[in-house]
Amino acid sequence: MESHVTSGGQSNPGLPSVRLRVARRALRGMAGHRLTLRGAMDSLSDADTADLVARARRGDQDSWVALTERHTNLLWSVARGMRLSRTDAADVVQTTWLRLVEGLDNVREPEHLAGWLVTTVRRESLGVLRRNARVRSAVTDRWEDIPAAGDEPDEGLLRKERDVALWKAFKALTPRCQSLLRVLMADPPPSYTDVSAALDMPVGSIGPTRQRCLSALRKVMSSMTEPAGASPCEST
Amino acid sequence: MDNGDHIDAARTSADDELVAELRRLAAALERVPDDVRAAARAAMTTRDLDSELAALVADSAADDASDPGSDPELLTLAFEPVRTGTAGMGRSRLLSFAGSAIQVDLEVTEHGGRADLIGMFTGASFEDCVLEYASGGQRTLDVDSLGRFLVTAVRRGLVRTRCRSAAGVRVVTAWVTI
Repeated sequence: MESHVTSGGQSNPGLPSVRLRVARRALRGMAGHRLTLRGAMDSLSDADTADLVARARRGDQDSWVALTERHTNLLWSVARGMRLSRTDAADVVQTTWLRLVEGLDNVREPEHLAGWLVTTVRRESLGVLRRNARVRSAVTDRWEDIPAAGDEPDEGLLRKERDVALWKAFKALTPRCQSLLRVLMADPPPSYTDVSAALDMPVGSIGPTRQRCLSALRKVMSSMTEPAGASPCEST
Repeated sequence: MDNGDHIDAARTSADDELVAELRRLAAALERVPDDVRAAARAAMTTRDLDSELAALVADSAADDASDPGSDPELLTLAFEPVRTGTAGMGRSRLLSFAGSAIQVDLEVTEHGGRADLIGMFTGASFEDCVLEYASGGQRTLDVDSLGRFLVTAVRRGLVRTRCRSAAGVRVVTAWVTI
Protein backbone atom coordinates (compact mmCIF):
# COMPACT_ATOMS: atom_id res chain seq x y z
CA MET A 1 0.00 0.00 0.00
CA GLU A 2 1.50 3.28 -1.10
CA SER A 3 0.94 6.21 1.18
CA HIS A 4 0.43 9.39 -0.76
CA VAL A 5 1.43 12.64 0.75
CA THR A 6 0.02 15.89 -0.48
CA SER A 7 2.46 18.74 -0.42
CA GLY A 8 1.82 22.45 -0.44
CA GLY A 9 5.17 22.97 -2.14
CA GLN A 10 3.71 23.79 -5.56
CA SER A 11 2.48 27.25 -4.75
CA ASN A 12 5.71 28.86 -3.75
CA PRO A 13 8.61 28.06 -6.03
CA GLY A 14 12.02 29.56 -5.52
CA LEU A 15 12.04 29.73 -1.75
CA PRO A 16 14.42 26.91 -0.86
CA SER A 17 13.91 27.09 2.87
CA VAL A 18 10.15 26.91 2.58
CA ARG A 19 10.30 24.15 -0.03
CA LEU A 20 12.77 22.10 1.97
CA ARG A 21 10.63 22.37 5.08
CA VAL A 22 7.67 21.15 3.10
CA ALA A 23 9.67 18.31 1.59
CA ARG A 24 10.98 17.25 4.97
CA ARG A 25 7.54 17.33 6.46
CA ALA A 26 6.34 15.13 3.62
CA LEU A 27 9.23 12.76 4.20
CA ARG A 28 8.46 12.47 7.90
CA GLY A 29 4.87 11.64 7.04
CA MET A 30 5.85 8.77 4.78
CA ALA A 31 5.42 5.27 6.10
CA GLY A 32 7.36 2.30 4.77
CA HIS A 33 10.50 0.38 5.51
CA ARG A 34 12.55 1.52 2.52
CA LEU A 35 12.07 5.20 3.12
CA THR A 36 12.85 4.83 6.80
CA LEU A 37 16.06 3.03 5.95
CA ARG A 38 16.92 5.59 3.31
CA GLY A 39 16.22 8.34 5.82
CA ALA A 40 18.63 6.80 8.30
CA MET A 41 21.37 6.58 5.66
CA ASP A 42 20.73 10.18 4.65
CA SER A 43 21.10 11.45 8.17
CA LEU A 44 24.54 9.85 8.41
CA SER A 45 25.80 11.52 5.27
CA ASP A 46 23.95 14.72 6.20
CA ALA A 47 25.86 14.95 9.49
CA ASP A 48 29.03 14.38 7.53
CA THR A 49 28.08 17.15 5.10
CA ALA A 50 27.40 19.56 7.96
CA ASP A 51 30.85 18.78 9.31
CA LEU A 52 32.46 19.43 5.92
CA VAL A 53 30.61 22.74 5.64
CA ALA A 54 31.85 23.78 9.08
CA ARG A 55 35.44 22.91 8.14
CA ALA A 56 35.22 24.61 4.74
CA ARG A 57 33.90 27.70 6.49
CA ARG A 58 37.03 27.74 8.62
CA GLY A 59 39.07 27.67 5.45
CA ASP A 60 39.83 23.95 5.10
CA GLN A 61 40.39 23.44 1.38
CA ASP A 62 40.23 19.63 1.57
CA SER A 63 36.72 19.78 3.03
CA TRP A 64 35.62 22.11 0.26
CA VAL A 65 37.02 19.74 -2.36
CA ALA A 66 35.21 16.84 -0.64
CA LEU A 67 31.93 18.80 -0.78
CA THR A 68 32.34 19.51 -4.48
CA GLU A 69 33.30 15.89 -5.23
CA ARG A 70 30.24 14.66 -3.39
CA HIS A 71 27.66 16.89 -5.05
CA THR A 72 28.89 18.03 -8.47
CA ASN A 73 27.67 14.89 -10.22
CA LEU A 74 24.14 15.43 -8.91
CA LEU A 75 24.15 19.11 -9.93
CA TRP A 76 25.35 18.14 -13.42
CA SER A 77 22.57 15.52 -13.66
CA VAL A 78 19.91 18.07 -12.69
CA ALA A 79 21.12 20.61 -15.26
CA ARG A 80 21.54 18.03 -18.05
CA GLY A 81 18.20 16.48 -17.06
CA MET A 82 16.64 19.88 -17.72
CA ARG A 83 18.12 19.62 -21.22
CA LEU A 84 20.76 22.29 -20.89
CA SER A 85 23.69 22.06 -23.29
CA ARG A 86 27.04 21.02 -21.83
CA THR A 87 28.22 24.63 -21.93
CA ASP A 88 25.14 25.95 -20.15
CA ALA A 89 25.20 23.09 -17.65
CA ALA A 90 28.84 23.89 -16.87
CA ASP A 91 27.84 27.52 -16.25
CA VAL A 92 24.96 26.77 -13.92
CA VAL A 93 26.96 24.25 -11.91
CA GLN A 94 29.78 26.76 -11.51
CA THR A 95 27.26 29.48 -10.58
CA THR A 96 25.76 27.22 -7.92
CA TRP A 97 29.14 26.65 -6.26
CA LEU A 98 29.91 30.38 -6.44
CA ARG A 99 26.55 31.11 -4.77
CA LEU A 100 27.44 28.71 -1.99
CA VAL A 101 30.78 30.46 -1.47
CA GLU A 102 28.97 33.82 -1.38
CA GLY A 103 26.62 32.57 1.31
CA LEU A 104 28.91 30.10 3.08
CA ASP A 105 28.81 32.00 6.36
CA ASN A 106 25.03 32.21 6.27
CA VAL A 107 24.19 28.57 5.60
CA ARG A 108 21.56 27.94 8.21
CA GLU A 109 21.00 24.20 7.84
CA PRO A 110 24.30 22.76 6.59
CA GLU A 111 22.97 19.23 7.00
CA HIS A 112 20.51 20.01 4.20
CA LEU A 113 23.11 21.45 1.87
CA ALA A 114 22.31 19.03 -0.98
CA GLY A 115 18.71 20.25 -1.08
CA TRP A 116 19.85 23.87 -1.20
CA LEU A 117 22.34 23.09 -3.97
CA VAL A 118 19.84 21.29 -6.20
CA THR A 119 17.21 23.99 -5.66
CA THR A 120 19.79 26.58 -6.66
CA VAL A 121 20.98 24.72 -9.76
CA ARG A 122 17.38 24.18 -10.81
CA ARG A 123 16.62 27.89 -10.48
CA GLU A 124 19.78 28.86 -12.36
CA SER A 125 18.91 26.32 -15.08
CA LEU A 126 15.41 27.77 -15.47
CA GLY A 127 16.98 31.22 -15.81
CA VAL A 128 19.23 30.02 -18.63
CA LEU A 129 16.35 28.24 -20.40
CA ARG A 130 14.26 31.38 -20.14
CA ARG A 131 17.00 33.61 -21.51
CA ASN A 132 17.75 31.16 -24.35
CA ALA A 133 14.05 30.85 -25.18
CA ARG A 134 13.79 34.63 -25.31
CA VAL A 135 16.70 34.81 -27.70
CA ARG A 136 15.04 32.24 -29.96
CA SER A 137 11.62 33.91 -29.44
CA ALA A 138 10.27 30.49 -28.60
CA VAL A 139 6.70 30.30 -27.39
CA THR A 140 6.44 27.51 -24.92
CA ASP A 141 4.66 26.78 -21.68
CA ARG A 142 7.03 24.42 -19.94
CA TRP A 143 10.71 23.73 -19.98
CA GLU A 144 9.95 20.16 -21.05
CA ASP A 145 8.77 21.59 -24.39
CA ILE A 146 12.04 23.33 -25.10
CA PRO A 147 14.03 21.23 -27.56
CA ALA A 148 17.03 19.37 -26.16
CA ALA A 149 20.38 21.04 -26.62
CA GLY A 150 21.45 18.56 -29.28
CA ASP A 151 24.72 17.52 -27.68
CA GLU A 152 23.52 14.22 -26.36
CA PRO A 153 26.04 11.63 -25.21
CA ASP A 154 27.63 9.52 -27.91
CA GLU A 155 26.12 6.02 -27.85
CA GLY A 156 29.16 4.82 -29.79
CA LEU A 157 30.94 4.71 -26.45
CA LEU A 158 28.78 1.75 -25.46
CA ARG A 159 30.09 -1.65 -26.52
CA LYS A 160 27.41 -4.02 -25.29
CA GLU A 161 24.30 -4.41 -27.40
CA ARG A 162 22.03 -4.37 -24.37
CA ASP A 163 23.59 -1.12 -23.14
CA VAL A 164 22.94 0.55 -26.50
CA ALA A 165 19.34 -0.68 -26.46
CA LEU A 166 18.82 0.49 -22.89
CA TRP A 167 20.16 3.96 -23.63
CA LYS A 168 18.07 4.22 -26.81
CA ALA A 169 15.01 3.22 -24.80
CA PHE A 170 15.89 5.82 -22.17
CA LYS A 171 16.07 8.50 -24.89
CA ALA A 172 12.60 7.48 -26.05
CA LEU A 173 11.01 8.28 -22.69
CA THR A 174 9.10 11.47 -22.02
CA PRO A 175 11.25 14.46 -20.96
CA ARG A 176 9.71 14.31 -17.47
CA CYS A 177 10.74 10.65 -17.08
CA GLN A 178 14.19 11.32 -18.49
CA SER A 179 14.82 14.19 -16.09
CA LEU A 180 13.61 12.17 -13.09
CA LEU A 181 15.78 9.18 -14.01
CA ARG A 182 18.77 11.40 -14.76
CA VAL A 183 18.60 12.75 -11.22
CA LEU A 184 18.05 9.29 -9.70
CA MET A 185 21.02 8.03 -11.75
CA ALA A 186 23.40 10.51 -10.12
CA ASP A 187 26.34 9.03 -8.23
CA PRO A 188 26.13 8.93 -5.25
CA PRO A 189 22.34 8.36 -5.44
CA PRO A 190 20.45 11.38 -4.07
CA SER A 191 17.88 11.18 -1.28
CA TYR A 192 14.21 11.58 -2.20
CA THR A 193 14.21 14.92 -0.37
CA ASP A 194 16.91 16.18 -2.72
CA VAL A 195 15.17 14.70 -5.76
CA SER A 196 12.04 16.52 -4.64
CA ALA A 197 13.93 19.82 -4.53
CA ALA A 198 15.68 19.15 -7.84
CA LEU A 199 12.49 18.42 -9.74
CA ASP A 200 9.97 20.52 -7.85
CA MET A 201 8.01 17.36 -7.21
CA PRO A 202 6.35 16.24 -3.95
CA VAL A 203 8.36 13.52 -2.20
CA GLY A 204 5.31 11.27 -2.18
CA SER A 205 5.03 11.16 -5.96
CA ILE A 206 8.68 10.28 -6.66
CA GLY A 207 8.31 6.56 -5.92
CA PRO A 208 5.17 6.04 -8.06
CA THR A 209 6.59 8.18 -10.90
CA ARG A 210 9.89 6.30 -10.81
CA GLN A 211 7.93 3.04 -11.02
CA ARG A 212 5.88 4.30 -13.99
CA CYS A 213 8.96 5.57 -15.83
CA LEU A 214 10.87 2.33 -15.31
CA SER A 215 7.97 0.21 -16.54
CA ALA A 216 7.69 2.49 -19.59
CA LEU A 217 11.42 1.93 -20.10
CA ARG A 218 10.93 -1.85 -20.00
CA LYS A 219 8.07 -1.56 -22.45
CA VAL A 220 10.20 0.38 -24.94
CA MET A 221 13.03 -2.11 -24.47
CA SER A 222 10.84 -5.12 -25.20
CA SER A 223 9.21 -3.46 -28.21
CA MET A 224 12.70 -2.82 -29.59
CA THR A 225 13.93 -6.36 -29.10
CA GLU A 226 10.79 -8.28 -30.09
CA PRO A 227 10.25 -9.17 -33.75
CA ALA A 228 8.16 -6.70 -35.75
CA GLY A 229 4.46 -7.16 -35.27
CA ALA A 230 4.71 -8.55 -31.78
CA SER A 231 3.00 -6.23 -29.38
CA PRO A 232 4.71 -5.36 -26.15
CA CYS A 233 2.20 -6.62 -23.67
CA GLU A 234 2.51 -5.65 -20.09
CA SER A 235 -0.06 -6.19 -17.43
CA THR A 236 -0.27 -3.34 -14.98
CA MET B 1 4.03 -10.25 5.44
CA ASP B 2 1.43 -11.08 2.81
CA ASN B 3 1.91 -11.97 -0.82
CA GLY B 4 1.48 -8.38 -2.01
CA ASP B 5 4.54 -7.36 -0.06
CA HIS B 6 6.60 -10.06 -1.80
CA ILE B 7 5.55 -8.81 -5.21
CA ASP B 8 6.30 -5.24 -4.22
CA ALA B 9 9.71 -6.23 -2.90
CA ALA B 10 10.55 -8.13 -6.10
CA ARG B 11 9.51 -5.19 -8.26
CA THR B 12 11.42 -2.77 -6.06
CA SER B 13 14.59 -4.79 -6.36
CA ALA B 14 14.18 -5.15 -10.15
CA ASP B 15 13.64 -1.38 -10.35
CA ASP B 16 16.71 -0.72 -8.22
CA GLU B 17 18.78 -2.92 -10.53
CA LEU B 18 17.52 -1.10 -13.61
CA VAL B 19 18.38 2.29 -12.07
CA ALA B 20 21.82 0.95 -11.12
CA GLU B 21 22.30 -0.15 -14.72
CA LEU B 22 21.33 3.29 -15.98
CA ARG B 23 23.72 4.85 -13.45
CA ARG B 24 26.53 2.75 -14.88
CA LEU B 25 25.66 3.86 -18.44
CA ALA B 26 25.42 7.51 -17.41
CA ALA B 27 28.83 7.24 -15.77
CA ALA B 28 30.25 5.92 -19.04
CA LEU B 29 28.43 8.32 -21.36
CA GLU B 30 27.90 11.48 -19.42
CA ARG B 31 30.94 11.98 -17.23
CA VAL B 32 31.07 15.35 -15.53
CA PRO B 33 33.73 17.25 -17.50
CA ASP B 34 37.00 17.80 -15.65
CA ASP B 35 36.78 21.57 -16.08
CA VAL B 36 33.39 21.56 -14.32
CA ARG B 37 34.95 19.75 -11.36
CA ALA B 38 37.91 22.11 -11.42
CA ALA B 39 35.61 25.16 -11.49
CA ALA B 40 33.72 23.78 -8.48
CA ARG B 41 36.97 23.39 -6.52
CA ALA B 42 38.21 26.82 -7.61
CA ALA B 43 34.96 28.54 -6.53
CA MET B 44 36.38 28.72 -3.01
CA THR B 45 39.13 31.09 -4.16
CA THR B 46 36.44 33.73 -4.81
CA ARG B 47 35.49 33.76 -1.13
CA ASP B 48 35.63 37.30 0.19
CA LEU B 49 35.28 37.69 3.94
CA ASP B 50 35.96 41.44 3.94
CA SER B 51 33.25 42.64 1.58
CA GLU B 52 29.57 43.10 2.07
CA LEU B 53 27.55 41.15 -0.49
CA ALA B 54 25.10 43.10 -2.61
CA ALA B 55 22.53 40.46 -3.57
CA LEU B 56 20.70 40.36 -6.88
CA VAL B 57 17.26 41.83 -6.17
CA ALA B 58 15.90 42.43 -9.67
CA ASP B 59 16.59 41.09 -13.14
CA SER B 60 14.59 42.07 -16.20
CA ALA B 61 15.48 38.69 -17.72
CA ALA B 62 13.28 37.36 -14.92
CA ASP B 63 15.52 34.63 -13.63
CA ASP B 64 13.98 35.30 -10.26
CA ALA B 65 11.82 33.16 -8.05
CA SER B 66 9.16 32.48 -10.67
CA ASP B 67 9.07 29.00 -12.10
CA PRO B 68 7.42 28.54 -15.48
CA GLY B 69 7.12 24.82 -14.86
CA SER B 70 4.42 25.38 -12.32
CA ASP B 71 2.78 28.67 -13.18
CA PRO B 72 1.81 29.50 -16.78
CA GLU B 73 0.85 33.06 -15.83
CA LEU B 74 4.26 33.81 -14.43
CA LEU B 75 5.75 32.33 -17.56
CA THR B 76 3.80 34.73 -19.74
CA LEU B 77 5.27 37.56 -17.70
CA ALA B 78 8.72 36.05 -17.88
CA PHE B 79 8.52 35.84 -21.65
CA GLU B 80 7.46 39.43 -22.20
CA PRO B 81 10.00 41.04 -24.45
CA VAL B 82 12.57 43.11 -22.64
CA ARG B 83 12.73 46.69 -23.77
CA THR B 84 14.86 47.10 -26.83
CA GLY B 85 17.62 49.63 -27.11
CA THR B 86 17.99 52.22 -29.82
CA ALA B 87 18.27 51.18 -33.44
CA GLY B 88 21.35 49.10 -34.14
CA MET B 89 21.80 48.21 -30.49
CA GLY B 90 21.24 44.78 -29.01
CA ARG B 91 18.72 44.12 -26.28
CA SER B 92 19.20 45.47 -22.78
CA ARG B 93 18.90 43.64 -19.51
CA LEU B 94 18.56 45.49 -16.24
CA LEU B 95 20.02 44.11 -13.04
CA SER B 96 19.81 45.54 -9.53
CA PHE B 97 21.90 44.51 -6.54
CA ALA B 98 21.36 45.68 -2.97
CA GLY B 99 23.37 45.48 0.21
CA SER B 100 22.58 47.00 3.57
CA ALA B 101 23.54 50.54 2.58
CA ILE B 102 24.30 50.50 -1.13
CA GLN B 103 22.67 49.68 -4.40
CA VAL B 104 24.24 48.74 -7.72
CA ASP B 105 22.31 48.97 -10.98
CA LEU B 106 23.61 47.44 -14.19
CA GLU B 107 22.32 47.75 -17.73
CA VAL B 108 23.71 45.05 -19.98
CA THR B 109 23.47 45.52 -23.73
CA GLU B 110 24.43 42.69 -26.05
CA HIS B 111 26.68 43.20 -29.02
CA GLY B 112 27.13 39.89 -30.72
CA GLY B 113 29.44 37.91 -28.52
CA ARG B 114 30.23 40.83 -26.23
CA ALA B 115 28.33 43.10 -23.86
CA ASP B 116 28.39 46.78 -22.88
CA LEU B 117 27.71 47.59 -19.25
CA ILE B 118 26.36 50.85 -17.91
CA GLY B 119 26.33 50.88 -14.14
CA MET B 120 25.62 53.04 -11.17
CA PHE B 121 26.63 52.75 -7.54
CA THR B 122 24.42 54.55 -5.02
CA GLY B 123 24.71 54.85 -1.26
CA ALA B 124 28.41 55.61 -0.99
CA SER B 125 31.20 57.18 -2.96
CA PHE B 126 33.27 54.37 -4.42
CA GLU B 127 36.73 54.07 -5.83
CA ASP B 128 38.97 51.17 -6.80
CA CYS B 129 36.14 49.44 -8.63
CA VAL B 130 36.70 46.40 -10.82
CA LEU B 131 34.68 43.98 -12.90
CA GLU B 132 35.76 40.43 -12.00
CA TYR B 133 35.40 37.32 -14.14
CA ALA B 134 34.71 33.97 -12.49
CA SER B 135 37.05 32.48 -15.08
CA GLY B 136 39.83 34.72 -13.78
CA GLY B 137 40.97 38.23 -14.62
CA GLN B 138 39.37 41.60 -14.11
CA ARG B 139 38.80 45.01 -15.69
CA THR B 140 39.08 48.37 -14.00
CA LEU B 141 35.89 50.40 -13.79
CA ASP B 142 36.20 54.18 -14.06
CA VAL B 143 33.48 55.39 -11.73
CA ASP B 144 32.62 59.10 -12.01
CA SER B 145 31.71 61.41 -9.13
CA LEU B 146 28.06 60.44 -9.44
CA GLY B 147 28.84 56.73 -9.12
CA ARG B 148 28.33 55.93 -12.80
CA PHE B 149 30.51 53.87 -15.08
CA LEU B 150 30.56 52.52 -18.62
CA VAL B 151 32.55 49.53 -19.79
CA THR B 152 32.36 48.25 -23.35
CA ALA B 153 32.99 44.98 -25.18
CA VAL B 154 32.93 42.85 -22.04
CA ARG B 155 33.55 39.14 -22.53
CA ARG B 156 30.35 37.18 -21.80
CA GLY B 157 30.26 34.95 -18.78
CA LEU B 158 30.02 35.01 -15.00
CA VAL B 159 30.96 38.41 -13.60
CA ARG B 160 30.67 40.52 -10.48
CA THR B 161 31.69 44.05 -9.51
CA ARG B 162 33.84 44.86 -6.53
CA CYS B 163 34.44 48.26 -4.96
CA ARG B 164 35.94 50.03 -1.98
CA SER B 165 34.38 53.21 -0.68
CA ALA B 166 36.42 56.25 0.33
CA ALA B 167 35.50 55.37 3.92
CA GLY B 168 37.00 51.89 3.50
CA VAL B 169 33.77 49.95 3.09
CA ARG B 170 34.12 47.04 0.65
CA VAL B 171 31.24 45.79 -1.43
CA VAL B 172 30.95 42.94 -3.91
CA THR B 173 27.91 42.11 -6.06
CA ALA B 174 26.53 38.60 -6.44
CA TRP B 175 27.81 36.63 -9.43
CA VAL B 176 25.69 36.98 -12.53
CA THR B 177 25.94 35.54 -16.05
CA ILE B 178 25.90 38.23 -18.71
